[in-house]
Amino acid sequence: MARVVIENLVKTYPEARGPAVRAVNNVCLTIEDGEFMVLVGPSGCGKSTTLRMIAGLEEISGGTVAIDGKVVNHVLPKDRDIAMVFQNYALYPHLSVYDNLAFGLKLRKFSKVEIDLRVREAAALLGLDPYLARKPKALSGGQRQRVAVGRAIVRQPKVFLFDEPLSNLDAKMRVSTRAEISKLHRQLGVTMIYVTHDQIEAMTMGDRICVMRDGLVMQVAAPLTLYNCPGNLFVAGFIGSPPMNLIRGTIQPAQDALQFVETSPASSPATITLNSALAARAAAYTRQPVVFGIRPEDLHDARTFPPGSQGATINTRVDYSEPMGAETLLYLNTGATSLIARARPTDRFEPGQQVEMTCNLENAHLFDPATELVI
Amino acid sequence: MNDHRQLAGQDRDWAKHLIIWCFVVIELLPLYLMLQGSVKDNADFLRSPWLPIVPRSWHWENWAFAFRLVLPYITNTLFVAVFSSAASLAFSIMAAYFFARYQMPFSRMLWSAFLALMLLPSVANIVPLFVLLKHLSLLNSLWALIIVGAASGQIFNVYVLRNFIEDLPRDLFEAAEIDGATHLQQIVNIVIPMSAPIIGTLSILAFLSQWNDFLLPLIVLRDRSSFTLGVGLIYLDGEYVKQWGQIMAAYFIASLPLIVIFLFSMRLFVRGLSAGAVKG
Amino acid sequence: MPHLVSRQRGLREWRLYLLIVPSLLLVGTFVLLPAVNGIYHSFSDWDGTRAQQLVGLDNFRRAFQDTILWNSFETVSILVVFNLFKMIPSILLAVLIHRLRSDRWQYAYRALMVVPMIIPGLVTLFVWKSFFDPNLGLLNRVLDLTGLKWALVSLDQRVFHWGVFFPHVPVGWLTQPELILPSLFIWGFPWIGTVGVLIYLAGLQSISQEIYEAAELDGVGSFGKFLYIELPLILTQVRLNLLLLIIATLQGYGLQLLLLGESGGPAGKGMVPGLWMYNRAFIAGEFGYACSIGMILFGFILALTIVNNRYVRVAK
Repeated sequence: MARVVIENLVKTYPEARGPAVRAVNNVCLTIEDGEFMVLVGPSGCGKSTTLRMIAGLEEISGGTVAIDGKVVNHVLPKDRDIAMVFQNYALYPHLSVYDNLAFGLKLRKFSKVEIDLRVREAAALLGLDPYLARKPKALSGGQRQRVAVGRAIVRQPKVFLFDEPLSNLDAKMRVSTRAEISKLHRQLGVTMIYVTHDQIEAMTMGDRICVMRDGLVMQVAAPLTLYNCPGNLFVAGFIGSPPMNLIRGTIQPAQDALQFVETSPASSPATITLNSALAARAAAYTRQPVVFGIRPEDLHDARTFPPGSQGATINTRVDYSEPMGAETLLYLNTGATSLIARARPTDRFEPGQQVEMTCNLENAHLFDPATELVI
Repeated sequence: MNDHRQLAGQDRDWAKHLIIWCFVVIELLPLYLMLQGSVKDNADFLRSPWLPIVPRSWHWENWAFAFRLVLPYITNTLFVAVFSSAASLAFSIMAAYFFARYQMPFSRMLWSAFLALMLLPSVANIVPLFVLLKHLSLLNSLWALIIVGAASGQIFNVYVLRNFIEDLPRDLFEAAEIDGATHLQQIVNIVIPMSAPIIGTLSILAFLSQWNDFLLPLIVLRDRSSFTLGVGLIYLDGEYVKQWGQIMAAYFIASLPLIVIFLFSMRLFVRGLSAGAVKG
Repeated sequence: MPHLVSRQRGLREWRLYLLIVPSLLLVGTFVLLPAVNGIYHSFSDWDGTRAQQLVGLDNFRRAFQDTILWNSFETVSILVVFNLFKMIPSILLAVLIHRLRSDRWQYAYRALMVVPMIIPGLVTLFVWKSFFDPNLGLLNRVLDLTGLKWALVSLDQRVFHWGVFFPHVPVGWLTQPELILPSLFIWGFPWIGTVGVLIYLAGLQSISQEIYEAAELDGVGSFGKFLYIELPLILTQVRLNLLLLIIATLQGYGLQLLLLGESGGPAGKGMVPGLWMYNRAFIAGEFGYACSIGMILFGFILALTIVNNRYVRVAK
């Protein structure tokens, strides 16, 4: 069982002046056996630090990390039964690929036979056979990355750790290596913890994603859950590209329904009549500020998608459009808020054009601006 | 070839060559004089000290004598130079690793102490050093030279190596740590291969400084059998009646080991010097 | 950047400290301890063996009135000036080689320049000592052959009245007090034996082509190029090593010891502070006094280093 349990993990850095900085602030996370967990977040959110504490490369200031039921706070990295793939590959430059793969095993006094077996197995798995005699400087970035992964595989660890392994590859390599790592996970079935700042990597590779910000865990859930049911403003805006549209406004009573009214200096702010589901949740926030969230794909040209019972419309002006080929990204403006919408590739829009957009309220969200949590 | 040299006058090079050769010839004069003087006996020498004599009358026994005389000095000096520079480098690498990779409690204090010692002019040390060696019963022993030689090179070596090791990629060490390497294994498998050029240069510098040193050996060594090259040559010079031929032969033989070593490592040395100079 | 390690983990990984133990032991015992010892004993009348008595500042008072010591400082300052002057041929040679048009010749000369470096310093020194020999020495022979001897004798007798060059007497380079300093100056001619040439060459080769082309367009001649392009670069390299050179000359005494003997030659004209310290300790057995001389030298050099670090470095 290679379950990793992180409880109240804290990492502080002493500062010359003022209070110590908490890079990781009371993080609690459980990674199940065989799971592919992605830690994602902007730079400085503490994801790498957390990973390094799991690895044992950083001292733990507070809390515990337990691998397979055993608390490993004071256990040396080599005894934690983990393997790590680094962003810059960290290959031994003077050793051949074979020796790079064999290095860790040699240190642990494995027999030559066993070493050869494991190295060739990993090489076969990763397509490294033709390169076994080469030195790292004779390899391309993608090949070096595979050697780094291979070095981890031969160790047959309980947990694989990845520290932004694709950041140094070009876009095309990134896509193919992403798929290879996912395939590897399916083949080996080992627990993998993967750190990245790229939310696309997170969404495509993870069984579950842990979104972090400023040392705190924002939400932990499966990719689609994060996408469809973000727990707070940050996750809503972070996951999804292009990001979710967030409109600030207040809940106002109107006739026998509740409306979301945009906070806007314009004469006619966007007004959305809430459906029953949303209204039920918004009731407690009558006359109070909220944030209305709706994803670009849930905004439709009203001409082609009339509102109907579940829809509501917003009057917008087109700023500009980006034809992407398979779709067109529309950059709109309500007068107070900028919005993005996905439109069909065949629709034509002119800058300055007034367009009415239908909102698919089934996929709309409301957030409390003060707590940033979803309502 | 389109560089500044084309801009200069076409026919000026011969003048440069002439001047350069003047310099070079005068500089290499001692070498020539040693050679031609080494095959004369004293009578020949008195007659014509600086001009070569006919090969028929070359006194090769000078060389045989000088060889027998100088060989033990050379072996002693080789022993001291090799061991002291090896020890110096080994200890420096370990200490530089300590300071470069980790900042343990008291690290900063120790490092400041190290730096302060770098400024220490060591001229005044020789007097108390002599007495210290006497108390340790190390006088008249080659080991004294090895130990002191290893000690005096430490500070500079550690300083240079520390800066170098700090620039090595950190994740390489971390990967080794996860692979299970102990600190010594990390030094052997990462630091040494990746710092090979600088270690080579430092080793050569240490070796040379030990080879050419004569002050400490002069006051420490008493037995003729343990003389190093420096002291041996000094005593040779101090003899009342000079056998010039033998002395010249001895000088030449004394120069041979370095010439041999450099023939093997010359390209490395010049490249190392140039690299260091351009950076500085 | 070194990885910060907390006190806790530091205690647990105490074995890491073992890595610096050999270094610390060696440096502590054979560099630091003698230094401290020297300071202590400069206040005593030590003779190197039995227990000594602390005599306070007596040694320093004696040093203050020691004419030999004062003269030695004067001598060594002159030697510093000599050594500064002796840097010129290296610079010249480096520029000449740098400006050669043939790459093959450049490489050949660079290789050739290594040769004087690998002849052990002692051998060069003793061969030069033989040059100074009055009867068999090369110098006197050359002077006789080229007639320069007669020129020097005439100059001496009719113009300058030095009293060192006599018509039928071989010139006593190392035996005439007045000739000691000139001998120390001449020693090592043409003064290109050290690593200087190669280092200057390497620096010169880093000058970009464009600067030369711009100078050519501006109509700068050969000498001008030297003055404005090459010399400044060499001078920056020189400045970096200047302090080291000065300190080395100030505290050096090996050359004088071997050329002139323990008393600095005739009338002690070649006595330098380091040699006086050596002399007092190992010839006269006055270890305490020698330590105080060492301390004075040490203080002098330390002051120079501090001044250099504060003012010269900052100015850069």
